[in-house]
Amino acid sequence: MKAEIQTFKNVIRETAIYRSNTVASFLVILVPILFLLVFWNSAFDTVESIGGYSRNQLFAYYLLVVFLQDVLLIRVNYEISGDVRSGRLSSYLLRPFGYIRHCFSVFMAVSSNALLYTGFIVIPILALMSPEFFRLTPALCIGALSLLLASLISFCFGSCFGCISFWFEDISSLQTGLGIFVPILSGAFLPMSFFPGWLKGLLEVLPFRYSLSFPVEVLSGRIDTFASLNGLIIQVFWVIVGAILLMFTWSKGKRVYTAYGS
Amino acid sequence: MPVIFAEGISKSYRRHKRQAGIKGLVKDFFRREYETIPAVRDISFQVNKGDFIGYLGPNGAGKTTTLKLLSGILLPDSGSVKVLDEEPFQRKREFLRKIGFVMGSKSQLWWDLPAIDTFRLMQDIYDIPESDYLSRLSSLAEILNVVNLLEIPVRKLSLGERMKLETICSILHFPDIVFLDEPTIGLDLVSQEAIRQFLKWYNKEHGATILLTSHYIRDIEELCERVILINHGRITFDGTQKDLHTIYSNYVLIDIENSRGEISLEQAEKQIQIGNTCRYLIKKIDLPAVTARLDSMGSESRNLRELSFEEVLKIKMQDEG
Repeated sequence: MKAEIQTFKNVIRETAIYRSNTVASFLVILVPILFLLVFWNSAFDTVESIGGYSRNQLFAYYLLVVFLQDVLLIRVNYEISGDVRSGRLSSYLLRPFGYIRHCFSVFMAVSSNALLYTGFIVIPILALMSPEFFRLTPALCIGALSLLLASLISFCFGSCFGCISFWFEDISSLQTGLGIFVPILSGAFLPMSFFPGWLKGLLEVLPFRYSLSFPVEVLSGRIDTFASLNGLIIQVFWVIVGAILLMFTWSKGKRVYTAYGS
Repeated sequence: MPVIFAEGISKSYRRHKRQAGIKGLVKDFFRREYETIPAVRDISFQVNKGDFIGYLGPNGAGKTTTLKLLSGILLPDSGSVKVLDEEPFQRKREFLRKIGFVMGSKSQLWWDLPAIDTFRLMQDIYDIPESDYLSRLSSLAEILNVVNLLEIPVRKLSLGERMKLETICSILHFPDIVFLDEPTIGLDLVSQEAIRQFLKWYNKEHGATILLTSHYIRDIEELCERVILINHGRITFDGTQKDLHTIYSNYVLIDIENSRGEISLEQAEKQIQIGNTCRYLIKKIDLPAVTARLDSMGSESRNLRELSFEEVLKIKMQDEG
């Protein structure tokens, strides 16, 4: 565990070196959300609720999405793909510290960092708008657990995707596609209740929702305790599937690794 | 006692054949062709504990691939490899703790952090006790004269300074076997010498086995008693520096200036054009006949000498595998 902690510390130190850039990057993510808030504010001028959300509920949803999407939708796939393509992976393979463990430590550090920086902006706004979020309720406890499971889903599937680089020289177009579709399907742009019935039904069982929208819905009290617990079971299922898939792609991938460029 | 056994190992890479021109591009898109490049072909050798071996060959000869196979980065297509009684590709924890790899063209250090932060990580990865870590780091840093560089971000260091720290990073856990892939590449003479002295010290002090690839003859001359030459993926020579010299002790080189190879010497075993000079490799026994022929042709501006170690290596490296 010591190596994981030291990797975590190194990532935090590294981020701290470029603090102005880090702060700027987190401020930048606020721009689209501000546009969304302005847009939805206008939409609520004529109606009381949209897709089952009141103005405050929808604002809270988006603030939580902003808060959590940089934690949950970390691009671990870029990291792995880059290491495989450049041959940097070789130096990790030579250490008695598994590469996936290294990636997970980096993932946790980047997530914590994102939580810290984004939270610094989002939490005060959320506290002003919806103070009920910060009461210790079952929803908050289940939400915290679902957040952890969501990050594991994101890590496992993101890592599997990065492992595709073992077989294909350039997956940048696939990465771009992933960067567009995953946020849409995981509810970063619109809550699940806005989707057409057939897609909503499909997303109920696919992993996307459980990597972002589900913990947001639990934390914002949109779903009851029974549905939350049910969702947690589906999350555990996807974590197991993702972990098995990751173990499989990683063990197959390192056999065909050619260590080009090193 | 042998610590490395390589028996008939081969490794090939599959490479996409790109075709030239727009037509080729279109054809390539719909019907991609691949070629198999043999990087290492049926090579066998053994290395004893404490040996310092120079593994040499031209670019693309298969040197780095061999080191990757021995360290477990790559899985051989055929043949068997045993390093410290383990199959390297299994990458067992205990095995990885006993090897170190310095890659001259790849950094292991965290680019934006001081080297000390990477060293701390290495301490945790290899479970080095605090007192050992501190004493090792201080002695290694002193030998390589980098004590005052430990807390400077790596990106602000010169290539030579960085390479010294890379070397420490790979050796901090005191491995039994060290693979060095061109550790002195691009370094100035002073830094090259510092790295050489350090490696010599590490080999002697710790009885470590070292396999070194380098394009600098001084590295090989100074450090490696045994030399393995590889070309086109095959071993062309495996013996001591002395053996290598002996092979060519019966030869001389004749350089003929202002010649484009128009003088044909049937006794020459090799003929190489270097700029305006044509170089011939001649057996000493044939020298009288060659001299007589050159005299008869009126060729006066010629230079005759014994082969230096560098020239022996160059000639041997050109041998087909």
